[in-house]
Amino acid sequence: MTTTTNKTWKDVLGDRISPQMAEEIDTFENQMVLRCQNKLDEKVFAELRLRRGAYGQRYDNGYRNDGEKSKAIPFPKVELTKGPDTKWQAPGMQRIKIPYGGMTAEQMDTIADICEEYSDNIIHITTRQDIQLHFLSLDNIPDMHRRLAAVGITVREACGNSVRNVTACPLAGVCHDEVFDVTGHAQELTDFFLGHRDIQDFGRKMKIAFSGCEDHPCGLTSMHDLGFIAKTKIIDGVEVKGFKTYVGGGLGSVPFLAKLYEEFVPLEEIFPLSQAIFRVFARLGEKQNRNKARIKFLIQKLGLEEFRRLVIEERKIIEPDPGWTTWIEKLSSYEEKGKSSPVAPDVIVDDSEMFAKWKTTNLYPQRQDGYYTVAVSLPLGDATSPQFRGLAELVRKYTNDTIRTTVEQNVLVRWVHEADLPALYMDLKEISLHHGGAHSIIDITACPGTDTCKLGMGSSRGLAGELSRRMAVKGWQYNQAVKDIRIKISGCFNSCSQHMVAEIGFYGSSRQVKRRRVPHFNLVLGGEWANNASTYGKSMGVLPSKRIPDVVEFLVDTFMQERQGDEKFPAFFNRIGRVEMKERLKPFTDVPSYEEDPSFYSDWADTREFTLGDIGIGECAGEVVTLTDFSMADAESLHFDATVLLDEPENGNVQLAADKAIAAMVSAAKALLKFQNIDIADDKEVIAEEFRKYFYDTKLFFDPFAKGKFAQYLFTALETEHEPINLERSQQLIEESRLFIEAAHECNARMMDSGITSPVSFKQWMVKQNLQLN
Amino acid sequence: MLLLGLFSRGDRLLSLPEVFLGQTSIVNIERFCVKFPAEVPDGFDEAALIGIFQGWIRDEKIAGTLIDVIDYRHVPDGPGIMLVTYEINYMMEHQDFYGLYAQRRWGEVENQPHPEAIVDLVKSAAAFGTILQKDTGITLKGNEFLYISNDRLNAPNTDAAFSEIKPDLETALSHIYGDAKCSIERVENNPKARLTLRVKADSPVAIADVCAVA
Repeated sequence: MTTTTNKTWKDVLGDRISPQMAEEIDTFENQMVLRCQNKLDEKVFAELRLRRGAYGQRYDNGYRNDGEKSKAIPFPKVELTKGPDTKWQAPGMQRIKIPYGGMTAEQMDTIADICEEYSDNIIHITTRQDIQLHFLSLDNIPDMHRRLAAVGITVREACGNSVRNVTACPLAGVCHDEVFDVTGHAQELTDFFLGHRDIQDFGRKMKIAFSGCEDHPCGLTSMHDLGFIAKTKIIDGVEVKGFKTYVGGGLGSVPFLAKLYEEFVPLEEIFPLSQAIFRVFARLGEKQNRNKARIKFLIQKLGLEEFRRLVIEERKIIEPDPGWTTWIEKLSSYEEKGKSSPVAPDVIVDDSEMFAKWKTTNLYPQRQDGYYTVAVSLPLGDATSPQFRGLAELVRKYTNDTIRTTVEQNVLVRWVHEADLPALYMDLKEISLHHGGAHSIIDITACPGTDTCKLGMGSSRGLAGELSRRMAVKGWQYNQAVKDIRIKISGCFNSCSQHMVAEIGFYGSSRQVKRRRVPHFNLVLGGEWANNASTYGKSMGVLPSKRIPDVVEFLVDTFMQERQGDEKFPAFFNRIGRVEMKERLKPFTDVPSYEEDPSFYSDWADTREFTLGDIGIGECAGEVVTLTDFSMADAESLHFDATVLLDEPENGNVQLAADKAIAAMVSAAKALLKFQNIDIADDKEVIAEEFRKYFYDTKLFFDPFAKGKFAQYLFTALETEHEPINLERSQQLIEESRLFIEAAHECNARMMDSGITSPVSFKQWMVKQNLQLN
Repeated sequence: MLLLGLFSRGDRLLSLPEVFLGQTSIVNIERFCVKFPAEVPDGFDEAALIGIFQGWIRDEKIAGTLIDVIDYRHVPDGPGIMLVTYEINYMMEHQDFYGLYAQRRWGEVENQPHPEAIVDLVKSAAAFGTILQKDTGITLKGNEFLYISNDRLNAPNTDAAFSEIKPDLETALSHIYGDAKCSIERVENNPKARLTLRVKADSPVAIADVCAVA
């Protein structure tokens, strides 16, 4: 017979959690109770939980398509919600902030424990050095937060409109090229602004990155809202440390390269400067339309000079804070060292051939003689709890607690003695984490996609798994010519895998083929990871999901055959040219009929048909669909022309590209309008007016998540088309046009699903919706 | 009746609450797991489980609030293919040995005695395994499984917790395996890992028979 206990984590860990963190968690727990009693609005609660990194997950609206039809998931308390359209009992995700990717072995043990107990035994490293756990119950979240807090991890502001995880080069402190170690700067900036009053009123999130040098990609400052690159400067004969500072970069649906804000900002000025930037952003940034609310849009609207002037003015009036400089003296505490001598120098590996290969891809010789940084390759960023715990043990055994996550979804064990490498390899083998090919072509980065993300359109992880398996067999990870090609796959256009800075990038999409949905991926080629991700890739259009492995093989084979000298993939792609490459890829665009090969109508690692079920056939549907398809094809073609024009942005091409981008949107809008009126005029003003009336005001065009965002791209483009154009605006129009076309495809598919396939059925739909516009 | 021998009174089978009436146990061990060893037929492609599990969700072939199928084949020693339900995560897991791992996520019945909860989870796993055998040819050993405490607060990996849990497990086993002789041993593992108990009945039991526990 057993005894009864009533322990709680709150009791057990009470004295190990800082009073402030404990109070925050208690408050959140109380908010959960209030929400359950319906005393707290669901929208407010959603923001509160998001600010603690507790996200929703796919199907949390309580519905799931089983391949034939959408069915309700009968959660026991279906009426209880944790946000609009978000069932309380639906599994959710927790994001755990890991500033600069640095963890201790103790923290790793705790993460392994909570993952095992509350999640599905899989720890996922994200592309911003965070950790995510999936399939969690909200009811377990407070205890999880307590256990994390007890080892010094806060989840505060892991999501929401706040300063997100501050990332940094994972080689900081051991890198040969860095100007200085940025580790402490990233952590101290995190600490200073955590919960700071000046970051509580953002319209959107703020992502910050630190890089130790300008030439290498680890920090990826070009794609961050605020980026710091380590610099030194001689002032009055003394070498002073500081940062080259960039603002307004970002990927997302419309990628922007960051702009140089200031060539050199001394250390004591980076906190007040950041604070001034945050205050200007909080005050003037967009608050209503979240699609235009990132700081990149504010800077674009104001112009960099005016933005800079406002920040300088703001800086003058901020009340001085001792915290602006007191952190500087703490920087020395971040210095790391290795163990003084090897711990297991006599171990002999049992597979010397694989060990030799592993050494070619997974090691980085540190600038400190005799020490190595070892990359542990985590497939798709995943590790099990026992593996993570095992890694923590190795970190203790071989290092002084020095491990970092990377934005490429791996971990780096730093400060390993060269003589310990065989022993470490064998220990990694014990936990099946000894695989070579880290950061190589087979080490594919993928966001969660349709596995768990509510926005995912494509199975990014399913595709990544398939590609990785196929390429590993070919041994490309050890092929000098191609091993450095990076493949990154996002489930949608939101760039969570950072596909825009990959040599070969993909993001999920879909197309309607003879009344069935076919999963597709957009191909993006030629992005540059180097130079802090300074060049974004170029869109090459969509390809059926099931052809992507063949496409990748074709691209890599072609590169190997036609490469000139030491040419890198982006240079090769630019030399071949986008038009030629598109032509060569044409054979891969074909989708066989469903009868011929139904596998094309399912996504990777998911056998369900990529469809929303039976689609009714309306009057004159065939003809209308054909006309719509023609217009959509025109739109695709115009968009592609626009992108090609910007390959050589001289001789008026910038203006021409912008015109084509707008024309592409108009053509896509016209394609949809043909459902309402086959004889719709060609005049773009008429099209815009009619589109607004029938697709925007009726919300028919609205994306379930982005709402009317993409339609606004068309309206704004037409309203501002006579304004002077520059390269950046032209690039933006092209990206917006791409998104508008994608949204039009989706809208087309939704209409087909709803039986809106002709002017008659369109009218019937309007009547049903009580929309009497005529 | 091998399975039900101890749990009849006269001609009447006792209900589970009756069986467990009057017994107390460690409260709040809501989260625990069981894992049954499995063997795959020659040439079996694990990827086939994705479609099979999707079909189970569509056709509601197993009990529970069925949610989704996740492919973790890329993770060495990982959960393989996982079927997520609101109540239990079912994984064809590779850690240590290949087997059906059923992770009870929380207690559906308030204050349910732990032995009864163990029986419920074993039954659910066995029901899953029975269909799995039929649909895939994967065979499961019905007479042995791991019990894994998934709650370091109430059942840490200690001798004391082992001593407390063992009687609960014995009670549950007597219901599951009837008068068959069973052994329970504590698995020697990393002290930071979870308390794990290996259960073995002395004679073969078909997984379908385990499933038939009343």
